[in-house]
Amino acid sequence: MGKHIYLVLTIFLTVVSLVSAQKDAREDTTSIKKLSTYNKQQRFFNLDFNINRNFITNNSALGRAGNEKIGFNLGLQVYLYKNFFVGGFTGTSYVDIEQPELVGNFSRSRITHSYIQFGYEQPIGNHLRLGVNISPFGQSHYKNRVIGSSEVSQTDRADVFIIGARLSYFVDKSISTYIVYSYRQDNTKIVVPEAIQDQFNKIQYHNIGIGVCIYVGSQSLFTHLITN
Amino acid sequence: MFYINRNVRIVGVVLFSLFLQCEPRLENNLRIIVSGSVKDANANALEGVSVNIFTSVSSSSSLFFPSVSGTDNYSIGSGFTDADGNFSVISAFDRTSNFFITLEAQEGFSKYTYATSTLDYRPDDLLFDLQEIVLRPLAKFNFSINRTSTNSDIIQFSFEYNNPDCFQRFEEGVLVPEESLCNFPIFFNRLLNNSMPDINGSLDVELGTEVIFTYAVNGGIEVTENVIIDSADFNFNFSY
Repeated sequence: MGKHIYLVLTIFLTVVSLVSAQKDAREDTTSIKKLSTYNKQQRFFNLDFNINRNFITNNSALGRAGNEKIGFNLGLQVYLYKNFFVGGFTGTSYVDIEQPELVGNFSRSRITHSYIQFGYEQPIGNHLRLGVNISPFGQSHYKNRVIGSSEVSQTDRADVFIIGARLSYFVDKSISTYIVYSYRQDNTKIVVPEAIQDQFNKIQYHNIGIGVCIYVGSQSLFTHLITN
Repeated sequence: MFYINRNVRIVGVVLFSLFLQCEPRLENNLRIIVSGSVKDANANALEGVSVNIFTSVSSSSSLFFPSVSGTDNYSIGSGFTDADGNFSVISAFDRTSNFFITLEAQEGFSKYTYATSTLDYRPDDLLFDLQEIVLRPLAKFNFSINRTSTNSDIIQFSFEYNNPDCFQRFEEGVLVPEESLCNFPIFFNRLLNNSMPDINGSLDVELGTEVIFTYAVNGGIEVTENVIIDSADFNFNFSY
């Protein structure tokens, strides 16, 4: 299943890239005036911050046992070529454990994650950009605090896989706000009895968030390298 | 260069070591299941029995019936029996010399404790199967012994009964009988004289069992009475 998602997204991004390259080639020959539109300007990198809410599916024990709280993400994305980017993100979210008999006697789980993200953004309209992204490499740590103790905890680790889409609105040439949706799957490294393996080996999320991006520079990394 | 006295460094290392021992270090990326069923003495399923999995940082190996309030004990898994008396509790795991599983009904029943060392032991299948545990019905044995004679009589008396609670210690999944106590005999005795002529008290005993009351007044012949506990709130009055 995971390999199929990689394949579909790779093909999608390749197609979008080719279409975009052709379109940009045509646009390069027309008036440069169009580039003054906020959302079509080339950038070097952006700083990204969002607050988000996880919705863990009931496929996992944590999904059934927990009540998700607000989290946040902080990241930096570098534009490699035109609107293709690569970025690094880190963030934290929380889950209050309401049914400890399903996961262990924990009161709260603090989930920290970090991942690398690849993506593409397509300008639409005058102020909008639609972006898609994939995060095949990442890790998350679930720090589970034992009930009745502020110090005693236990940690579960997982590999993170995320696909997502975002719609950005440029309020200025260097600032955008956005809404984002992502689907995330954490493949955990938790060792459990065979009978409950399917409740612990994957934790799947739907995630929605709102954020702000600050853009810096006017050339992609590739352009910067070949012109300097 | 900042210099730390050698003695201060030694004290620091010792304090740091003590600090490390003050809290359990739960095993990461691991869960176990504790399962079994609970019945009463008549083989009826007991619903709502509290199942708790504890780890203790205390080095003592004689920690009978630990409770959540114990400062050295941490509950790392908990749940309840269902309507059929079955339980299956997912728990964290700790490497400790004192790993406990307790079964405790709301009230009116005996307690059960499973104890083991997990320092070098973890079941391969990560299952702690306690199988069928029987909790015995409890009764309050309320006794009152009073001096009614006008003389300065003295009495030596005792109650012999069985404590219905059960503590079982296991080693690598195998019961160690010599370190286990189930339904064990208790011997309660007192001497009443001018300084303390009367006594009142209460003992937890198993409903339907016998309490053997033995007494001797003024060093005379010992008399023994067998008292059958036939109600949950049993009153025993004796005067001499």
